[in-house]
Amino acid sequence: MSATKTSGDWLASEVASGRVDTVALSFADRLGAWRGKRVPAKDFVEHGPTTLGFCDGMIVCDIRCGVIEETPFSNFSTGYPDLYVTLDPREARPMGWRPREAFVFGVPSDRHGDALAVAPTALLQSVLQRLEAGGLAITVSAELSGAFLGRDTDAFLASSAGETSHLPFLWLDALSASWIPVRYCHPGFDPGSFRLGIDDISPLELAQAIVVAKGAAKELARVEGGEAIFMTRRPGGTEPALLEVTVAVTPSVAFSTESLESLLVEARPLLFPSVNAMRKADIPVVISTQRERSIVNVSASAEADGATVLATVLAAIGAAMEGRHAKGSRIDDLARSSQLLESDWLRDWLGAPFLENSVPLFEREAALFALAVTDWEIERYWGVA
Amino acid sequence: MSAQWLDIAWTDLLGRCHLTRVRNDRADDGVPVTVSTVAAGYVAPSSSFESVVLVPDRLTERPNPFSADAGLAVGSLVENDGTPSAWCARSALVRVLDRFNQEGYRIQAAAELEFFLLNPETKQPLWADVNQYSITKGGEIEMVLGRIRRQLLEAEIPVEAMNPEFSGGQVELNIRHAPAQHAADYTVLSRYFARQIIRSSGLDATFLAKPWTDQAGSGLHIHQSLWVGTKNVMHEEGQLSPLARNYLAGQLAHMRELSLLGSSNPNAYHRRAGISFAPSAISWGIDNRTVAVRAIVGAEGATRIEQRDASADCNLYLAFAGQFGSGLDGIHRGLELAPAVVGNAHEDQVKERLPMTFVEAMTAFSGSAIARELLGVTADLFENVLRPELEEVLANSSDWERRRYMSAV
Repeated sequence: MSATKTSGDWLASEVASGRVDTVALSFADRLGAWRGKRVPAKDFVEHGPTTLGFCDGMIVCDIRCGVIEETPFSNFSTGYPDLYVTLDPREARPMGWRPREAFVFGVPSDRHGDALAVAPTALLQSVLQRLEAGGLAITVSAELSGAFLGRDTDAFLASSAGETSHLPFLWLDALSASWIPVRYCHPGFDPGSFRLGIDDISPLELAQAIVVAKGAAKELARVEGGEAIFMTRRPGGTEPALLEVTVAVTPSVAFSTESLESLLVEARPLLFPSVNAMRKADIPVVISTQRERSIVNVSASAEADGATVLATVLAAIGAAMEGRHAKGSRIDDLARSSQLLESDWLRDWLGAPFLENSVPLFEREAALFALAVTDWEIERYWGVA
Repeated sequence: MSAQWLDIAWTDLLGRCHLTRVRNDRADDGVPVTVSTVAAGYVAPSSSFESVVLVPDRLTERPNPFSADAGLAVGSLVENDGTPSAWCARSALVRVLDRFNQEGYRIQAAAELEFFLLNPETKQPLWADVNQYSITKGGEIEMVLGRIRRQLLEAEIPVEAMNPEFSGGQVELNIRHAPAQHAADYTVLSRYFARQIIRSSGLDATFLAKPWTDQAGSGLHIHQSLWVGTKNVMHEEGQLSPLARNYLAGQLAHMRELSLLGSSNPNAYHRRAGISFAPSAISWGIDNRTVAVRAIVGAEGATRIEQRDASADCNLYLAFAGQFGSGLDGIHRGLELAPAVVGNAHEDQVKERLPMTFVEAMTAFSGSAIARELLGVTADLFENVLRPELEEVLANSSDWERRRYMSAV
C-alpha cells in the first residue's frame, strides 16, 4: 500500500541520520486493529522488503484474540499456521507521535504470496479492482467520531460540550505528521466526543488511515490517563460513534438510493459488527449525483473495520449498478448473521470465504451476550424479582 | 583500551543467569564459585564449600551498554585444572555442538522468549486485556521495550522484533537466528538484561512458565536448522530433507525423557493442561501450532523446525543440548519419522503424551540413557539438584487444595 506522500527512500535517510531507529511492521486484522511487530529500523532498511509470519488465527480471531473452532480458515484443527505479510521499506512513513519510529503496512497473504480472501484489506483490493476494471475511479473521505474519556471515572478527558481540550489537537498533529491527510477535528455534541475529518484519498489509504488514527487516539489518550472510545453506543452518550464514509465515483453512475440502501441493510453486521453496534437504528444512505461523478454517503459504526466497511459499501455500489436487489430481510440481531451467507450479491462481491469466517464470529458474540447477565438487568430487576 | 572491569554472565544449573564483575586484567585467571551457588542452593551441605572456577569466554566479549566501566562476556565453569566442569550447562552444550562440528554440521538456532510485564507492587500483569501483536499496546510500553531492544542491540545481541503476546501483560522477544552457541548466549543475556532493564524502569517481569491458571503460559520456542557450509541440509526440493526427518524423529523419540531439560520445575507442567497454546502430544506437523515440533518448510534458507515444548524459565543450554543431541541421535540411527499430524494434535489419542507433571518428567529423565550419553555427569547433577524440589512438591500443601477440599471433605 503506497503512502500518501511519496516515501521513496525516506526511511533509509532517516535511519542513516539516526532520527528513526524502530519500525512497526504492520497489518490490520479483521476488526481493524493495528497488529504487528516492532523491529530495528536499520535491519529493515538493510534487508529490504521483508516477509514476516504471524499466526493466521489473527485474521479471523474474535475481539479477545480468541481462536475458535467455528471459523474454517483457522482454528485448532487447522493448527493455526502462519499467514505472511510482506513489508517494503520504501512504503514506510513516520509515526507522527513517536519521533524515533516509523510504520509500514502490508496485506496478509498465504505462503505463495496470494492475498488472503478472508483479510479485509485484500477484500477491499479485489472489490476496487473489479470496479476499476469497469472503468470507475474511486476516491473516499471519511468522518470518524468517538470520545476521549477518563479511564477510571466518568470524567470527560477531552472536552465538555462546545469546548475543546488539547488532546484532539495533539491527535490531529500526530496524524498529520504521519502523512495522513486529516482535515479537521472538532468536538461532537456529547462531552468528550470528537469528529475527525479525513480528506479525499484512495480507499486503501483510508482503510489504513483509520487503523492508524484509532491506534494513535488510544495511545495518546492513555498517556493522558484516559481512553479513546470508539464503541458505538456508550453510557451517557447521545450520539453513536460512527464512521461516515463519502465515496466519489467517477464518472457518475445511475442507481437509486433505495436499492443501495436495501443492499446495505442486508449487509448490516459488516457495518455494525457488535452487539452494541447493532443497536444503531439505521444506515442513512445519501446519494447525490453531480455532472461528472456520483457521491455516496454511508454511515457505519466507528468500531467497524474501515477496510470491511469500504469493501462492503463499494461492493453494494457495484451490485446496485448491476441492478441487483436485496433478497433477505434486515438483520437486527447478530445471532441471525447467517443470513449473510444467503445473499447472492455479498457472496459474489465479497466471496464465500470472507462471509463463512465472519458469520461464526458474529454468532459467537451474540451467543456470549445471550449468556451474560448485564449490569442493566441487575440494576433493574435485582430487588424486584 | 579495555575496560577496568569485566562482567561475566554465567548460569547455574537451573538456568538462572548471574553476573560476576572481575578485574578485566585478571579475569582469565578465573573466579572461584561455590558449588552450592551453581546448584542453586540445592546441594547437600557437605558439597556447599566445594568450588568450581568461572572463566570468561573471550570470544563472546562485547560492548556493555549497562555499565560504562566494564566489558561484558559470557562465562563457563571449569575445574581447577582448566577442564570443563560437569556443573557447567554451557559446556554441556559445547560438547554436543562439537559432535555436530566433527561430522561437518552446524546448527543455526533462534529462541522466542516470552515473559510477563508486572506491576511491581501487585505482581499482577501490567494490563488485563488481550493485545496480541498490538502495535497500539506495544506503543504504550515502548518506553520499556524500546529500551530493551536498543540496549541489547548495543550489546551486539541481534534482536529481531518485539510484540505484546496473547495474555495480558505478556510480551515476546525474538532474536535473529545465529550459530547455536551464540543463540544460546544471546538468549541467556537477553533474559537477564531484559529483566534488569524492566526493573530499572519501575516495573517487574517474570519468565515463570505458567504464572496464572487462566492465562496462557510463557514458552521458549526454539527454531533450529542444520547446515553444511552454506547449505541448509534440512531443505530438499521444497520439503524436509531425509536428514531433517531423521533429526526430527530423534527429537520425538527422546522428547518425553528429556522434557525435564525444557521444563525444570513443577509450574512448567501447568502449561500443558487441556487444549492450550503449549503442546501436549509428542507430535510433529507442517506449520501446525498444536504439535510439539512445527516444521516450517519454505525457501532453503528459511526451512527449519520449531520445538515448542520448552518453557521460558528453563536452562537454555540444557534445553538446546537435549534437543540438538537427540536430533543427532536420530540421524545416527536413521530413525523413521512418523506421519505428520494434520489437525488438532491435542485431540490425537494415539500419540504418546508429554509428561503432564514434574513427577512424571523426573521419572522419565531419571531412567534416560540418552540424557547421560549427551550430558554425561551433568545429567546426574541436574537430576540431583531437582530431586529436593520433587520432595518439596510432594510434601507441599497448596492454597488450591485448601480452597477446593478444606471445607468440603
